[in-house]
Amino acid sequence: MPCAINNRRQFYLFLTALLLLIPILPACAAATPETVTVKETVVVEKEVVVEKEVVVTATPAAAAPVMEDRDYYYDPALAGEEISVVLYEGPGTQHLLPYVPQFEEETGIKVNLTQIAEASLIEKEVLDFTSQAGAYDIVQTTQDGAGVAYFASSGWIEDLTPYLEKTPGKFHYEDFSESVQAATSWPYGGVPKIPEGRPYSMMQELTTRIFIYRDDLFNDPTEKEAFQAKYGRELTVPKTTDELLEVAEFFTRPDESLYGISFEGARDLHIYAVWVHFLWAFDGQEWDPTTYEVTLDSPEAIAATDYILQLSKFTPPGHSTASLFEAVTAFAQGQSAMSIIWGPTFGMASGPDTQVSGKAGFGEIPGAKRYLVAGVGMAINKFSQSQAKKDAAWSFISFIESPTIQTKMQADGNAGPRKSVYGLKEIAEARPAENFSTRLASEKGHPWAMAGGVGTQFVNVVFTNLNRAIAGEVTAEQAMQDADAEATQLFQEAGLIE
Amino acid sequence: MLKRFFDNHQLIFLGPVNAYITFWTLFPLLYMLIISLTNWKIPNPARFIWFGNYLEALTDPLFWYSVRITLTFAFAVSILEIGLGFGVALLLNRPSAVATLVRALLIVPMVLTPVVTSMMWRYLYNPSFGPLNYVLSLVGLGPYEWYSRAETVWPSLMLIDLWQWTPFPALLILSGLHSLPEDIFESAQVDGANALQRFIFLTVPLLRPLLLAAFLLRFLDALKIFDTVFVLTRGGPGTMTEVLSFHIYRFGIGEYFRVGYGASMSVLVLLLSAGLSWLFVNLLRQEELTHA
Repeated sequence: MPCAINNRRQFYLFLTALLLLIPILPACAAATPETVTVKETVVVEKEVVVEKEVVVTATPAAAAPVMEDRDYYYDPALAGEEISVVLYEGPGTQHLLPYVPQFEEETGIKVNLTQIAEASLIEKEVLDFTSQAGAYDIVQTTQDGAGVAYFASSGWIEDLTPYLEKTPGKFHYEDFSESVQAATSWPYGGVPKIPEGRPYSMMQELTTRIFIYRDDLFNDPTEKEAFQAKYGRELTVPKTTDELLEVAEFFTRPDESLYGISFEGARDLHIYAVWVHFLWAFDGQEWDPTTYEVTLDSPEAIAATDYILQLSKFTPPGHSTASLFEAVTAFAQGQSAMSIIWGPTFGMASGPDTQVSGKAGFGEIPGAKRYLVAGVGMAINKFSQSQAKKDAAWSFISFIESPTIQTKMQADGNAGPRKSVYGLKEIAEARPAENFSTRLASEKGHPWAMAGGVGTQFVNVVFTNLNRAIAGEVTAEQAMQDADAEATQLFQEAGLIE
Repeated sequence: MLKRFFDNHQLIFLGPVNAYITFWTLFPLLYMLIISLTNWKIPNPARFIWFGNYLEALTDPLFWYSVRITLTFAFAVSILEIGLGFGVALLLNRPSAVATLVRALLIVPMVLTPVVTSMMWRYLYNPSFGPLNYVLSLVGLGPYEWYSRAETVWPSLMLIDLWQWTPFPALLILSGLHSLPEDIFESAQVDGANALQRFIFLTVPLLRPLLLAAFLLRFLDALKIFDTVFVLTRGGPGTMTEVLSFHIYRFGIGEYFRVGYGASMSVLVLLLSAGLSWLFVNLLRQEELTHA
């Protein structure tokens, strides 16, 4: 090495010091959480065993009053437990956050909550499942097939049956509609859920797509006159798919920066969520529910896709990459006369900060016959590090889903799934559009993409091909034929069909 | 004596560190190679299918499309950035307070994370509310659906890369300009060469190794484009911007969880990058020999 003697010596001294330091460094690190957790678990379990023996043999009746006034699962032995919860970054989580301190105070269970962007949530959770690290005790399930069906069929989340059995009767699981119960159970066999279906998730936020429109435009005498002259009928809020197309065309005036309708066109699940309503409206289905034969190349599915392309002609510029945010903003800024949005985004679309505040009406999607059950739920990670953590996780889930907390959360604006709560007059009147969306999902809801481990991939295949059609790369027929071929291969590889 | 000991036993002291670094570099690579030979798809167990994934990738038109558009993008932005960077460097190659300030500001785009940059440009590009279309409308142009149409999506993505990374070759070339020997230029000037001749026949040839190095670095970096596509287009419209990284992400972990297939495509990209790097390094060596 061409350097001075002193430099070389210093260099080797430095290397020696570094080599000596390397073995020392891990010893300086904090004790691994796993070690601490195991230690604590042993201690807690010991305490639990002792306490239970004392309570049961000495005063058996004393166990009952502990949960008497609670409508969620509570076990004082779980005090001191710490659970990790991963939820998506969104309204459902925001509404839940204020109640976490109350839960911690009432139960003594510490909650570490992590919020992750929805687009990255599934990846993070799947990585945790496959590594069996148990980094999260409570995981978020979404109702796009990547939730319950995927996680449950893969054996990653807990069957909630034994947890529900030890929860007080005041919890009232029957307060969740048949659609919601079917959407959160596996195996899936339609609505109502089949006898073999076990609950795996509790819905935290229930919603679906609703139709919103500019009330002021529909009631404007000038608009009414012009529509009558052009189409020979009165301008009314559309109820059928044909009417929707006509009205969208009528309100598309690029020189006035007004377009008929806005909805997502970007390559993600939101365009699927719009398209599937029209698939069902045209009497199509994603696949045969008994044989799993994919039916995306059926005339009905092609007609639904073609309909989406027709509607896309009346959307604001940039539709082929329009995100959820951009589609809602277009309506909020008065750029579109109608939109198909998620219920909880009604405030964003027409609230006081928008250009259309007080001018928006809402209703069912024109022509829709059923609505997808969407939203997010919470499930217990099968690889959670101890049964105590799983019990603590259930305590938290049942607390959030309890009638008491759900009533408060829905009063705050959460789209909660309990019939007894969303049916309350004051809840319905506080946020009518959001409440309407929850009702639709609960009472006319139909789970979507419940195809076990390939449900989410099925959705991906469809929305990729839908976007190709919207971008003009292929026709509606070609898009659905390609989607059918890819989805069939998916189902074959998954063993759903031969 | 100590010095002699150290001199004769260098490997003993360098060995552990080298082994540590080699392990953490090679292990993921070897693991990826092994996975690429399996049909691992989460949550199913993996089974060896040897070169089945490679065959599938090499016969997939979408994979080749991704390769083509990624190479084209990387080549185009690298050339443009070198050219623009050269211009910026020449402008800044004068001692002045403004030049000093601009030199400092040039670093700002490079230190922004790609996601932040992409989000910022998404708002700028918004066809209805973006400032870009607003400014153009003042002179009677647009509106343009920048990243939503086939005709404009690629120029839009390239503009983002140019904005963020032109300063890199600019600063590199500027340092090269400062190191050029003045006497050669003085001699040329005395001999009657004008500014343009001095630039073409002296400046550029003398900076050629540096330009090649800058091109290589930018090209290999541009091959990895992902964040901009993820934020702006998600591979769309349709599959128009499904670059290699996004294609691998989509199949490997993002949408299909076909980890084995994703690994095989990653290996193919690695081989491609290694091949291109070897080519450029050889070019650089030839340049150095020529200059020597």
